[in-house]
Amino acid sequence: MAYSDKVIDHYNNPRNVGALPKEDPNVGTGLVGAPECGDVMKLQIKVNDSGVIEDAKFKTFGCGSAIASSSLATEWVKGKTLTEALAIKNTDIVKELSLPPVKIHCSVLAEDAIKAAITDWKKKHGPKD
Amino acid sequence: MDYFEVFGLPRILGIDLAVLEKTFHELSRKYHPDYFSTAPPAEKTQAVRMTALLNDAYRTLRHPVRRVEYLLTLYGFKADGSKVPQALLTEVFEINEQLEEVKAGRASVEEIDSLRAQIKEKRERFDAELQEASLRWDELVKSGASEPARKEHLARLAEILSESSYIRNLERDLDKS
Amino acid sequence: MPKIVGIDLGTTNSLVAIVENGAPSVLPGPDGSKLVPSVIYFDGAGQVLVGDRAKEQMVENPKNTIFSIKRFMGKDIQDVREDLPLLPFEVSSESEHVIRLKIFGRDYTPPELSAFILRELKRNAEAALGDEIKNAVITVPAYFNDAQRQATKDAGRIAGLDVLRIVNEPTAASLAYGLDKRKQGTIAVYDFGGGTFDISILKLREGIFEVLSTSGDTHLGGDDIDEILIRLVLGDMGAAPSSPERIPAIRKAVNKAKEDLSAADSSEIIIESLQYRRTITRAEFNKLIERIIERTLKPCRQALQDAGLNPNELDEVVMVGGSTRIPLVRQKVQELFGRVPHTELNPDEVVALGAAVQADILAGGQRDMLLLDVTPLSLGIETMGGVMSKIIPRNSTIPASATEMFTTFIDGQTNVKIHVLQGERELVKDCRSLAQFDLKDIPAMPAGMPRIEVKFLIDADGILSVSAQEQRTGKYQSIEVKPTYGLTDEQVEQMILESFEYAEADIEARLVIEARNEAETVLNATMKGIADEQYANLSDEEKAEITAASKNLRELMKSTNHQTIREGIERLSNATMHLAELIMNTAIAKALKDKRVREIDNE
Repeated sequence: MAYSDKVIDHYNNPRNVGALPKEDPNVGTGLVGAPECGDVMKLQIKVNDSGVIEDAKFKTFGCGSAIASSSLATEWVKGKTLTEALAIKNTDIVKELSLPPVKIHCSVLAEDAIKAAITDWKKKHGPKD
Repeated sequence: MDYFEVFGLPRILGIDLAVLEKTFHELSRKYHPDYFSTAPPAEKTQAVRMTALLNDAYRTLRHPVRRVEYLLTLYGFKADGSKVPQALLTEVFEINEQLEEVKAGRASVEEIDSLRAQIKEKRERFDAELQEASLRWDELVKSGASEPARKEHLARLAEILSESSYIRNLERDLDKS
Repeated sequence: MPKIVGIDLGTTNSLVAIVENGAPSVLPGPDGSKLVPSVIYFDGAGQVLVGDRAKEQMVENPKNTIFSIKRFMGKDIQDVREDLPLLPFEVSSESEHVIRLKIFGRDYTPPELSAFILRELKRNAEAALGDEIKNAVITVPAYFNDAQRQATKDAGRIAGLDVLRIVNEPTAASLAYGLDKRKQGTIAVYDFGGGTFDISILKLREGIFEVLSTSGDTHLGGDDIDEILIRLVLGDMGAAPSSPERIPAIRKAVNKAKEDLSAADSSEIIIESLQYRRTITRAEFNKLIERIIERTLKPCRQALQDAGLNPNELDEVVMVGGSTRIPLVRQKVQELFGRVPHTELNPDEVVALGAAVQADILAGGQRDMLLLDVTPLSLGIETMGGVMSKIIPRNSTIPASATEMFTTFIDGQTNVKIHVLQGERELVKDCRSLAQFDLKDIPAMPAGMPRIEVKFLIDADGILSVSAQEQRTGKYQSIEVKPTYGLTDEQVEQMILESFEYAEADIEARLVIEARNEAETVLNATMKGIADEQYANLSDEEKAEITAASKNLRELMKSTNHQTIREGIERLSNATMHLAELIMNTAIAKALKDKRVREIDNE
């Protein structure tokens, strides 16, 4: 089959599905969408005092590759610093999951979601970072 | 040959459906493979290809949303998700969560009806917006507006499509569940 | 222009029709009957009977009398598993991709079995028209998928027919309906046959028959009603395990009761061989079959929705198919559409007549009429996580096409697999797999670099073809197609070859040829006899009878029934008996005389 086992695994057993308290000052929430297919993806991070992402949750309404991409994104950001998390590129997700070309936008969505969550956290913590 | 050319139309969005249908029938009579069953194989193949193109064009152009989507692809525009307002995304996310309840069979009839009405109202608002922007495009084309002005309006059309696509998807999902 | 016939290859009955002088008519078989039961009987000694004579064998020889083969077209063993308990046929263990029935140790696929019916229709048409028939339009249920359509085309090829077009049955019916009265407006065709159900909504305008939407169920028909009644009878007989040999007798009896109940308020199911008898009222019958009829209504609503119409926007609901004779069907249809359905067309013949009209269009006879049909099912490809991505939506006017771009994931990758599906559901596993396409010999490039444009084309028969081109090199890609269901081209070729062998072994055909040859000989002999001087010694009555019997035999020679020809031969032989005696006697006398002369000479 053209799709990697990893994709199918992430699709069938998505990791870190759920929500973190939005109002928690340590939580950053990113909400992004892909208009082609109407997918919406919510990705949340919880950042500890040393600036490390200690938890991440997501909820995605969309196709299998969108779910797999966001599932993978939450796995990857956990344990990373914000700077490290910002370095995750959609191409990394494409490579890891072997996404077909028609589904590359799903990986873009996941990258955008990480960025949006970090931006939201930063907004809560002022311009100090 | 693009779909507009198939019908001998300029790239405008205000299309009279009755005229489109009439042309569709006329062209079908000209190209349909039924009239080429005794022709040499090459002509037969050509008739099938041409009719397929005609049918694809008619299917696309007669539909007000598909028509705009097609126009945008002709100019290399793609729906861009990053410009969709957060407020709309939040709303879409919430509706999706309600839809999840409906799909799981946990919603009451009243809840489903209210959700349906909510989505329909939004879709109708987008339809009106799209129609207005489509007419504006035609005006720009007819008045020979500058390239940048046209590009800007195409971007606007892409934006409306992006926003409305979420709602249309929701409506389709609700119909299915 | 060679003649093109229209064929309705039905689950229960099949018909062949043609347009002559602008009007379509069904061509009867040698026995004068227009309906050829879609039943095939194998006697085990090389003889194959089709039609009424095969149907007579159903009760006596259930295992080798095949019926309702249409339900197996384009299917494999998994698809028909639930039907098998009530069917007396033996299924071959080699039934992957295509189901195969084992008859006297030989495996037959549904297209091969259907080809027997098509050959019979071809022969009937040839006899009626006095002309060889090579081209045909064959109808299929509108909701038939790609594999089922392809199987029908294969059947045509095996039967020696060039299938110029596959036409949807309800659409064909609409052609026949709209033909004479130049009808305009929006109509629904409700086609409920022996094995399949279709609903099609069409717009008729100035000779253009445009299908707006279609829906249906290819496994829903009169057979399902029969099965409910069979189960009722089996239930009455108690817990005793039902041997499959009993079923045909039961099927025959319940079928008769079902037909009776279309006119009468009650009927009796009588199976003498099983000493079974039971009265069934129409009310009881209605209650039993209601669930089946209800199942036809959902596709009707779907078709209306897809066409964007309310029932009151329809101008007419046209009823087609034998099962629409059932009063409850008419009642339910009337309730759903809010109008009395149009039942004036002969539900058995209208599809064949319409097929003949389409054949006439193809032959160039009807330039002002044109049929614009649609594909009943969405076409898609498999994407991520087993999800189907639609590329041509259902109810798209055909021919229709779609183009998709594909690329590689790995550097230097030279193969890409594409899985093509048909269906409406979101997940691949709920759709019908059509084929796996293997794009091969892609120029080696870094991952993501090749741009392979794949074009999917659904032709006017509703059958898919695929072509591919690599955009950077402009090279056409070779595609290897592995159909999920159905036969490969090589297999069909092989079956065509085998069918020729079969045709030689086809005793009925050979008997007809032999009878015709013999008739020819007898007629020639008669001509010689008339020229003989002994002819003058016959009475006037005798002479008149020879003339009449000769004329009669010339007429009967056109028949495809060898017995009919033989009857003619016998009459002429009897008529010429006296003349033959006279000639013979003089010949003998002459021979004896000659002999004597020779003997004398030799001595």
